[in-house]
Amino acid sequence: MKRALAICGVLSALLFPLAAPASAGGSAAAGKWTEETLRLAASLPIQDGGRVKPLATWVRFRLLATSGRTSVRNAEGGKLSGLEWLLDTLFFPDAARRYPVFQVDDSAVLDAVHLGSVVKKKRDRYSYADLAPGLSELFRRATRVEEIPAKERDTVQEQILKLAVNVSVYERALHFLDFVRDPKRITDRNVGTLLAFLPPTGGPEERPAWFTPAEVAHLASRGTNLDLGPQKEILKVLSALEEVKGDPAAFQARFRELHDRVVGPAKARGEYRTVPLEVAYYRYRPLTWSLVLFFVSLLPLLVVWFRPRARWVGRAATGLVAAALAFLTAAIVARCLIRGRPPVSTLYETVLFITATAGLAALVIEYVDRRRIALGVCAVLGVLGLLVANSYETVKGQDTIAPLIAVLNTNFWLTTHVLTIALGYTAGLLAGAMAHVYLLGRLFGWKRGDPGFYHDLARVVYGTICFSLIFSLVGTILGGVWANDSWGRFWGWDPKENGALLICIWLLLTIHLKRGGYLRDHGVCLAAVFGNIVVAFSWWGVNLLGVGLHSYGFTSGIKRSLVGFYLLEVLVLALGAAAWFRHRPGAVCGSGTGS
Amino acid sequence: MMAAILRKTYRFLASYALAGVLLGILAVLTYQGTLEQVDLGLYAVQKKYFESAFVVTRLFGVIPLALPGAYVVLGLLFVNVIFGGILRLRRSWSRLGLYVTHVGIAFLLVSGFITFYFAEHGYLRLWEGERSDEYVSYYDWEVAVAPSSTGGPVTELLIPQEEFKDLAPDEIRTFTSEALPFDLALAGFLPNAEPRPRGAPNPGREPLVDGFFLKPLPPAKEASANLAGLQVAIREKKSGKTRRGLLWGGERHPLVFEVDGRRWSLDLRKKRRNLPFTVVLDRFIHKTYPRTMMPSEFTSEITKIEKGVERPLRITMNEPLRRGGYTLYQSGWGPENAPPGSRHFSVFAVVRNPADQFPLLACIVIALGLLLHFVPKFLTYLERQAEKRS
Repeated sequence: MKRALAICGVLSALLFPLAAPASAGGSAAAGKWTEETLRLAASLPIQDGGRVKPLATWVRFRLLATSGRTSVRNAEGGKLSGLEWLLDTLFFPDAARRYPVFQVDDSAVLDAVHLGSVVKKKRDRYSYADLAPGLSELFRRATRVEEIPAKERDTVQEQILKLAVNVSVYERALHFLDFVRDPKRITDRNVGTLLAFLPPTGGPEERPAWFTPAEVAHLASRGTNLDLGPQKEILKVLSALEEVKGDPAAFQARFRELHDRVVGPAKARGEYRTVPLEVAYYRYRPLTWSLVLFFVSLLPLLVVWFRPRARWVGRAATGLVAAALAFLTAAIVARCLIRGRPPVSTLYETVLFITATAGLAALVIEYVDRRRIALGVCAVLGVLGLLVANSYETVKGQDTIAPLIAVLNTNFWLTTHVLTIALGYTAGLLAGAMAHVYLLGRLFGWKRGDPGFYHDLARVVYGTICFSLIFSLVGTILGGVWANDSWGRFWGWDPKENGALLICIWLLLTIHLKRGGYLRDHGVCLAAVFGNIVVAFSWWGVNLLGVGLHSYGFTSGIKRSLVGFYLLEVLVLALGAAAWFRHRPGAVCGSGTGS
Repeated sequence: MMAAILRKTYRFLASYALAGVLLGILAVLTYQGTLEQVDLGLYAVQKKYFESAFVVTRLFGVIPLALPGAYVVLGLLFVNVIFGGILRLRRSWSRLGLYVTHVGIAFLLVSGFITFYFAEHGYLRLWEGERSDEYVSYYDWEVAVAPSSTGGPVTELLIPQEEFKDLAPDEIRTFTSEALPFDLALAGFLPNAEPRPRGAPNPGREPLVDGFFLKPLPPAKEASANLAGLQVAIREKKSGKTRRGLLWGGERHPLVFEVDGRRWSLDLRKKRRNLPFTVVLDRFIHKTYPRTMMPSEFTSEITKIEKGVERPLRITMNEPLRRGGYTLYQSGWGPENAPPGSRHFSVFAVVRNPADQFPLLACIVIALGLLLHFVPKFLTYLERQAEKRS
């Protein structure tokens, strides 16, 4: 008790006379933030998840986790950016309580916390005020769910837990500045604890962890010998912000002061270098542009597939695909610069890298083949890959540029093994995608009058399979060599290792059966499509098992999508088999070569 | 006639068909062995699918299959690679890449066989300031007999697991030594067991010794967690007097008894092997990313003492210590919840593998072979396409 009072005293001393009188959380009116204020807020560095990042990044992923979106509707239905939502929550908590931000997919969650009859259930997002009557029940149930092993929880239990976590973090945002309004509240559980935006005095090696306001208050109350002067000054500016929150221009001026006081030490510690780039990365959204361009390119591609002589349309399609790839490549390069590591180190990044390299490889094939098939495959893969990346980011709601655990923290192996194996996935998927064109084209009689078309296409598929073998085989062995250096054994039959081995076996099987004359063009294309299932199993499927040493790659929440993909590919295989049956030697109708 | 049979056999062993069948079986084994790890654990799956001669399984949990195990399949694949991929391959420059690739694959399989048969695996756990020149096996057990002593070196007599692991409950094997005033009769080895007091359910009617019996348990998912059990009878050579006991791998203290006025200890423990050098753990460094529990670094600062020469070294993730045919890897640490500044221990995985670097060499050879084969083909394809266009 004495300690709590001492802390209150310290914070009062820090903020008084600037501390505003307790205003019970501010008025119900929301703030009006200038563009400049929002720009400054976006690049305000904070430490979260083991790294220093812009506040804009933190807000983006917090909102994705809470709402499944990167923007919010206020109580009146107006659209707010993530930063506007956060500033409203911090400075106008009474208004922000009424913003519908909490995503609840299953109404059974509302029933479980006795809100079923209180709120309208035909929505998927609810405000804090909507949920307030059921919060104690929500936390009680979440505590019970936590005791259930993760693998045994059902979807409603998972959603209860997720909602409880999101509400809990949101409460810390609502009460973050309560200590400014009433310094005695610094000892409250949720007050001043959410954002670590106060860089410590000294270098990052000596003092790696940044402070939250609550931690500064605690340290000051304990009489530490740390120099807390700069942090106290920042807190005074924060207090002044609360005073002028109703005046956008004055708020902007004060916010600039806060920004400069935080950025200065961050720069001195060498931790601000990539923050502006990261702000630009999320502001200019190169991945969104890439997706849009890939999507738009499908239209001229459809035209040239059916009217190959429309040259200008073909060139427009090529230009759009090239531009889409340029945006995607720029995004990957930006991510590499931000984290100072090779392009692939997380599952999310494998999606971007494989989409980009598949696109580039398809462009090379297009340059050689010039039938607009590879270009079309490139556009379709681009759209699918970026949709998967987007959906993965939304489902996870977690920072995708996070630090790596110790065993992965090696740029040498990330460059050699991971890039090589990812290129193996790329070539395998590209071969499978081209094989779709072959099988479905044969089934529906497309290019019936061009007998060499399908044979040439099958040659491209086979060649791509051969390249997949080079990268998959070398990448898998390099993975074993890495495992030998980190875990002490080359091969341990771990699920992730087995997944990579399955790809190698499948490719070797296809190539040997082709060379032995057991597979011809159609068979190779069927094998390539089945290879997509094998690649998907290795890439995502084994992560769902939740066993093995590659625990950093364990994934959940994608089982339904993955099974859907498997079924789709099985359907294509069935259609491909039907096409073979239709065009088999001796059948009444048929065209092209191969069997 | 004989020549024709040999020729046919050779053709079969070198055939694409055999390669296809073997690769297909290997794919099924790998797939099944991956999925079953969720329920059986890695060790049991390894024994069932990858180190066995024969497997009975259900594909997708439905289709019953009887297949040769990966041990047999890989052996046949090796023969197929040698015959079909190396000996039978037509000698020409255009096939040089294929030849090199198959040599690399054969070398990789050989390194796998060497590792399987000759590699030794274990761990060494040291507290900061502690030293040791021996490491402990993950799976193998031994019975150690030694004069009970509170200090100073003693000579231990060891009975390795191979000598008693096949003993059924009613099968007794006696071990004798001139250095011992007693004989040891071992019986009923249990790979995983737990001592239970008299009165506990004992459906297998396991023998009671001093009010306890060893209850057999199913194998643990992590094989290193198995705690073996063994019945022992100590028969004094002079008097012929016999006393019985239970040895259990989870027991902290050895079984101590007295014969002819001298105290002896008897212990069932994980097998210990010597290192050709001594390791002293000077400091363990465990770093996390700021404001998270996510580890960013595990490093052990050690001193290696070999023939009186001390050398400070560090072992960290992805940077093991390789010396004298042994490799020490950073594999664990503890105690996890120790307060800052308290003493830590570090765990090193210790491997002695004569084929340690063979996979890297094989990888280089295979990569070279594949590039030699496919790059010229790709260039030829490009040329032809260019000709077509022109």
